[in-house]
This record gives sequence, C-alpha cells and structure tokens, in this order.
Amino acid sequence: MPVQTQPETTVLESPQSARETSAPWEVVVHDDPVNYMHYVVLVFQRVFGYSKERATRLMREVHELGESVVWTGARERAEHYVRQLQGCQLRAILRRGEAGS
Amino acid sequence: MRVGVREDGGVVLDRVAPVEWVMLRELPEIAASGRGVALDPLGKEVDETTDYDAASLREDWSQFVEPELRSHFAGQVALLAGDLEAAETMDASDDPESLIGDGDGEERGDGKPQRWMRIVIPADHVEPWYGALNQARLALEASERLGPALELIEELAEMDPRRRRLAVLFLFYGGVQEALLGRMLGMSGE
Repeated sequence: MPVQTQPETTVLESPQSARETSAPWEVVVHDDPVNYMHYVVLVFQRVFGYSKERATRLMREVHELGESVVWTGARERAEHYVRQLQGCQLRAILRRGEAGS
Repeated sequence: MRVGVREDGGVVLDRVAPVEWVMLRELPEIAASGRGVALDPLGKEVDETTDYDAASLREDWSQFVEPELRSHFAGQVALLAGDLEAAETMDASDDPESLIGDGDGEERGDGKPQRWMRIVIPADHVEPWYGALNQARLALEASERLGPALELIEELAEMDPRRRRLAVLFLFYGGVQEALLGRMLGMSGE
C-alpha cells in the first residue's frame, strides 16, 4: 500500500528486513535476586537519562511485576541499550513490540 | 571491617579481619566462572529455530557483544585483584586509636597484637569493585539459588556447611557492595 508523505510525493513501501522496519522494539529488564534496588535506579538514570522518579517507578515495576519495559523504539537503539544494561549486569533483553511482530 | 571514604573519592576497607580477607581473596575465582551474568539478547522464550532473525541477532551478539562484555567484566575483577594484592597488613601499632582499647579485640588470645588488612580502593576502582562483587554474587546465585538476603539469613542455621559457607560469602559480598553503592550514589549527587 502506498504511503502518502507529501502532497505530490508518493513513496512505495519496499520489502525490507525486520531490522529496518519493525519498530518499536522494547528493552525489557527482568527481576533478579542479586541487584540492589538503588543500583537499578542509578543504572536507569545513567543509561537512559531518566529522572530519579521515573527510574524508581520502573525499578519498582521490575521488582513487583518481575519485568518492566524500560524503553521502546528503533531496534539499533534498543540493542545499544540492552548492551549497556547487560554491561551493568542487569537481566536485559530485546523484545519485538506489538507493531513489530 | 570498617569502611572509610578518602578525600579523593576512594574508599578504604580498614580492619579487614582474617576471615573477611579470606572471603575477599576468593572473589576473583568465583567471579571468573562467569555464571549468572545474563548475556542473551532475546531471552529464553524466543525460539531461534522458528525465528531466523533471532538466530542472526544471537549470532551477532555472541560474536561481537559478548566478548566485549566479558572483557569488561574481566577487567573489573582484575582491578579488584590488583587492589587486594596491594593491601597492607596492619596491627595495633599502626593505629593509635586502637591502643585506647575499645573492646574491638585488638589482642589475640596469645597476647600478640591483632592484625588486619587495609585495602585502598581508588576512586576510579569503586565501580569496578561493585561490578566484580556483583559478578561473584550472580555466580553464587546461579549455582546455589540462594534467593533474597533476608530469607537467606533465616535459613543459614539449617544449611549444610558447604551451602552455608557460600551463603555467607554471598551475604558478605553484598554488604561490601552496599557500602560501595553508598559511595557511588554520593558521587552521582544522590
């Protein structure tokens, strides 16, 4: 299906790999019994630049629900964040968001 | 063990008792197992036999990201090990305060002065130390399924000696981490 982008410009969707088209991707952090809550908050603040309040809310989701979607967006950026979170030894994975399934 | 903060932002672990010293010396070997550090980019629920893209991502991750992260983790442990190597043996004559006698056990049973270790953690080693301690705790958790610390403390008395020793290591490393975390939060303005 063509996508109208400007009044006189029509761009046809072309077959592309999932890597290029399947946004959004989710960065998901799972709970674990090792990482301290304050540390998780600190990591979320540093990696994503979140406020302390937002980082704390996400940490609580991780702790109470077992996981939290801490960021959503393009795949390459999501991969970058997962790498950073894993480097901080959090249990972080990539997951296809609903629109990317 | 006493934890002090240096003017340059570093941390001093002072009066490290022999048993605490032994536990710290065990850390590099425990952390080196690499167990417990999660490096799968997709999680177990994604089946690569039915998802070609998942297989490709996992292959890339294992080829490029995992070696980089493992090298980063090994670097943390190496810094900690280096600081342990540089630790000094102290006794009461090195610490005038201890001569006052505060009931802190300055003398051993044989009347000789109590000895302890003093470990200096430079400011730029505080976070690597935290990471190395975390690696060790993740490895212990992965092998022993120790669970939350509060429940673990209650179960200690009923554990077999081997598991109890590992549980005590897990708790001790956690205690050191908490002290370092206080410093890290302080440095980040928390």
